[in-house]
Formats: sequence, C-alpha cells, structure tokens
Amino acid sequence: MTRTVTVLNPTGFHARPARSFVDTAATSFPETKITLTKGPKVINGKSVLSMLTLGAKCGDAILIEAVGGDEARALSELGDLFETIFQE
Amino acid sequence: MPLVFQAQGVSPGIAMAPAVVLNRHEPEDPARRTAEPAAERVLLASSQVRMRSELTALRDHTLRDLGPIQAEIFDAHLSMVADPELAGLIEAIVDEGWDAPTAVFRACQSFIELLSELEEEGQRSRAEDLRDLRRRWLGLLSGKACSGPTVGTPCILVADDLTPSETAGLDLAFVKGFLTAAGSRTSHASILARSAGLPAATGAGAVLAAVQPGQLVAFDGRTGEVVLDPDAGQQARFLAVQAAEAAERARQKRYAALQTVTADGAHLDLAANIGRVEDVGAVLGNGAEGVGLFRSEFLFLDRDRPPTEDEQTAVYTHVLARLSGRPVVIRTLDIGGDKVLPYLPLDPELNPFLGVRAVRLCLGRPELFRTQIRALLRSSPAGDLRVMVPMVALVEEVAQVRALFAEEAAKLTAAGVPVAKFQLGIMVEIPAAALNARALADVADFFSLGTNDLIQYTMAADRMNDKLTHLYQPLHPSILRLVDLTVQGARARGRWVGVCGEMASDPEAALVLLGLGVDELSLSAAGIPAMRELLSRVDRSRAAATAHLALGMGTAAEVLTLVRSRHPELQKEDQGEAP
Repeated sequence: MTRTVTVLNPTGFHARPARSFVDTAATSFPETKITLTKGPKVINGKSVLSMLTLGAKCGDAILIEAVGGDEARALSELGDLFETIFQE
Repeated sequence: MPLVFQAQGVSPGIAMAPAVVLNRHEPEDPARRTAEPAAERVLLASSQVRMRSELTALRDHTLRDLGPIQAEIFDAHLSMVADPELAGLIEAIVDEGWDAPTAVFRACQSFIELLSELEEEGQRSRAEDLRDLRRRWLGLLSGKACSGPTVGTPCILVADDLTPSETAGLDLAFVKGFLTAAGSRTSHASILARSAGLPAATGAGAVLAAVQPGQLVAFDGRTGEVVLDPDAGQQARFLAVQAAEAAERARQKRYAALQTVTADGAHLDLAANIGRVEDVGAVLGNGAEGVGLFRSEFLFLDRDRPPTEDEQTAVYTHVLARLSGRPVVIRTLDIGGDKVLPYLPLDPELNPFLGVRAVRLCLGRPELFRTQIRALLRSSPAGDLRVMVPMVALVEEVAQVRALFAEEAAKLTAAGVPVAKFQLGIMVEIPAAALNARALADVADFFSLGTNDLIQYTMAADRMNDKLTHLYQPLHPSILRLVDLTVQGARARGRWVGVCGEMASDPEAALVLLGLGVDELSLSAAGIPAMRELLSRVDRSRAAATAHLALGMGTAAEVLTLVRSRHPELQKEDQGEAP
C-alpha cells in the first residue's frame, strides 16, 4: 500500500521531525517495512540518516510505502504524522 | 619571551597552567582485514550497547545542566547509533572480511559524504555530528577512554574547536580553562564553561598557531587577554586578579545563600530576569528567589519558524522544574515594535512603539498565541508558574487572554493532559494600566512594573532616541506616583507587585521601590548578591518614609538628593567583612 504526502515546511526536512517519524515507524510498526520514495531515491523509512540524505524540500511529494503487518494503519498514522511534523 | 594575544573572553575567570594542545586529527581508515568476522560482530554489538549507555548518560547530564536544546544533539547521536541502514552497512563490510573499526569508519564515511553534499546553510551540520559520533565510536572500539581529551595534570586546553561530546567529557578536575580558535559566546562549549565556572576564550587561532605543548599559558576569560610564557610580573598580575575575583565571589556567595531581608527584618523577593534556558544556572548560583521575567520571545528569535508547542513545553517545563517550586514569571510573546521575526511579517507602522506589539499582536494572531498558551498550560504542573501578559492597557484585554487560557485548558483537560493552577498577571508599562490599577487588580493575579517602557510612555520620549536620553528619568516623581498607584491598586485586592525593569537594579531606585511597597525586584542574576547585601543595610520603614517624601517632590534631581541624604548606607562600601 502507498500514500503520497507533501513536505509543507518551507525549510525542508529537519533532523528532529525526521527522528520522530523514524521513532514512530520503528516502535509502533516493527512488523512493517516502510520505504520513502522521492524521484529516483528510495530509502528505508526507519533510518534517520537515510531520511536526511533524501534532501527533501518544501513542495516535494514523497511516496510512503508500507509492506507487511498492519499496512493500512501504518500508512494512515505515519502519513498523518509526516504531514503534521513537516508543515510547521 | 612572553607573547601577548587578544582573544574573545566567553567565560570569566583567570587560568594559568601548561598547555595541552588538542590535535584532533581526523581518524584514518584503519583498512584492517579480519579472519574471524564472527568475533568482530560480537565486538560491534557490545560497542553499540556501550555507545548507547554513554550517550544516554551524556544526554541526561547535559539535559540537567544545560537544558533540552543543548541535550538534543545527543538524542541525534543516539538515533544514529541505532540507525538500521548504518548498522546494515557496517555488517556488510564486516562480512567482506574487514574488522570492526574499519567497518565503522567506512560505513560512517559513506553517510558523511552523502550528508555533506546536502548541507543547508545555517543548520548544524549533520555530517559534523556523524564525524563526532564516529570519533567516539572508534575510540571506544580501540579500548581508549573515548569521552573527552584525556589529561592527567592541571592544564589549559588549546584546540581548534571543542565538539559537544568532547566538552561534556572534559575532566574538570584537571582542565583549568580552554582556548579555542572557533566558537562564540553561544557555542555549546562556552555555555558549559560559564555554567561550570571554567575560564574560557574563543577567537584564539593565533594562540593555537604559536603555542607549544607544555608551554605555560595564562589568560583572562573576562577580558580575553592571553599570554604565552608569562614573565614573573605578568604571572603576579594574573594571580592578583584571580585572588581579587575569588574574594569577591566568596563575599557574594554568602549573600547568594541568604534570603533577602532588610535591616529591620522586612522580606522581599529578589528574582532574576532570564531569556534562555542557559541562564538558569546563574539564577540558581546567585541565589535568586525566583525568576521574575522569562522573556519567552527569545525562543522565537534567530530561527526560521516559530518553536513548536512541544519545544516550548519542554523549555518552560525545564525552567520550572529547575527552580524547584520557586516562582517563575514567564512573559508571553513580546514582539512588534523594535522586535521583529523573519517568519512573521508585520505591516509597517509609523509609530511601532505605539503600534501592534505584544498582547495586541498576540490577540490578532490567535494560532501563534494559542500554541504558546497550550505549552504554558502543559508545563504548569512542573512548578510555580506565573504567566505575565505584556502591554496591557485595558481590563478587556486581560479578559480576552483569560478566556483563551480557559478554552485551551478545557481542551487539554478533556484530552487527559494535566493542567495545574497558575497565576495570570500583567505587565504594567502603559500609564493607563497604572492609573487604572485598582480595576485591573480585579482581573489580574499580579502586577509587574516594566519600568523601561513605563518611563518612555510617561515621558513620551523614545528610549532609542539618543537626543532624548535626558527625559529618561526613573526617579521622576511622575514615575514614582504611577508606581505608587499600581501598588495601592494591587494592595486593595491582595495582589503582589514586582518590578522587572532597569529600575530594579539601580541602588537609589531600588530603595525607593522598596519604600513604595513592592514585593519583588527582578534583575540580572549576577546583580542579585550585591543588591541583597545593599538591602540588608536598609530599613524598610525608613525607605517608606523617604518614598512618601519623594512623592511630594517636583523633580528627579530633588528625589535623588533626598534619597542620598537620608540613606548614607547606600554609599557605604563593604570591604569584605562578614555580613
């Protein structure tokens, strides 16, 4: 299952929100594999370092994919979290 | 031959000791093969556990001493140590037959390179964070103590820069001070130095270039003067300054440990003005009886977006907890006028000081204000919270703010978030508020006089205009009458009154304020012991009589003459005898 979210924060990706996304992905959905795709880059959604290397900017569309476990709940929670933390 | 340099003092004090030069050569790729990958994997797993426990300890330590913002870097390190991609890469390299240090070096290196390509201007470098982490990790794997630079004798550390983890690991039993080429007053190392009372100076690139390991170094962390190989005369001079500072500190320390009591046994609170979490150390060290003004706008400056609710909650909670039950007056966002924020465009105004600032601005930007209100409410269980609203002119404004607090409190309570009782007071800085104090005391839990603005508005004289400085007269009878009206209004309703402007730190003005009946003076933390000593020599009843006479005078000059002639104790220099 996939969901597309948009980075709304005018200054792009910050370390602190990236960390809270990764923490939630790892602790709440240990069974689910989470990947983020931006253009040609595909990264592990449970890795802060990879998220920081995504180089996401304001307005970028990011595709979140969940495989395994409770995919629907993971996408809904993580997608909402993503939109909240990257819009401040 | 002594060599003299001028650096930038960032933490006061004198230090004199042999130099230890920290040559932080970037580690090189060990490029070592292993025959037993299984043994390397065990080594890696145990080093990861130790990294976590060390970093957690550093984080907790820093959180306690310097606050959540400074501690955040170690949370970043912790998440990097636990990063699955980094761990996967390390394992893959070990599987290829390389040893643990080589794998850690190379895996970190590939992320450092990726991150360096993306670094944004003005942000703390994540690649630097990862370098710092790698240095620690390789140190730990090589079996060396990996916290700070290891020193076993008294020394002055001279370095290009000190990373947060090096700073946190400094052995203060031996390091007597540090000099760095990079850094500033607000860098992690400088803040730690001030909170630990460790002399420090930055901008010492020339010293770093000239110094030899083991060479005697003397420096003054207040003036920034650095001398290599000081001669006997210079050494004696540094030691004399050191002795004088120590004597002064010891004398003031006695007052820091006391309560504020006048000669006739009256008590009042001496509180501290702060802007940042880092100031809390000085508040406690100087024995403040609370925080009288926490300028929350400092949290909003120097950044590209407003602080989040969680961030604000963490900061307010931290300050309240550190003050362990002593009152903390947090002023809600006071911007507009001369203080502007890059992410909050304001309409240009002809008279910004008479324009949309402080509470006027907050009431017009409810989303900004509600975020702060929720953060304040969430922090309320952590201590004695007193919220102060700036620039209040009308009773209605206080009612509006109260309604917002009540709404947000109801929402939080409904969501199961605890909210404790707190006071909601106002800053009295507009003459209208002082003149209408009795009515405002019905809706406000306390008053704090912001005398700087009160004087500027009463005299209609812009305090930024250097042609009008003669009109800035704290002791002018008109100002004293407004203070008197404010105190009378508060008394009628059993409210307390503080003063958080410059007047609170001026000896003559403080005496008159004491006489007028204020309950609290809030000033810079460093000024508290001296003010406490001064007040211990003053009779409150005599000050009250002086204030009463002053209210009947016509000029500030007359008031000053009156105060000086009636209170010779203000001039008396204490020469260091016990209080």
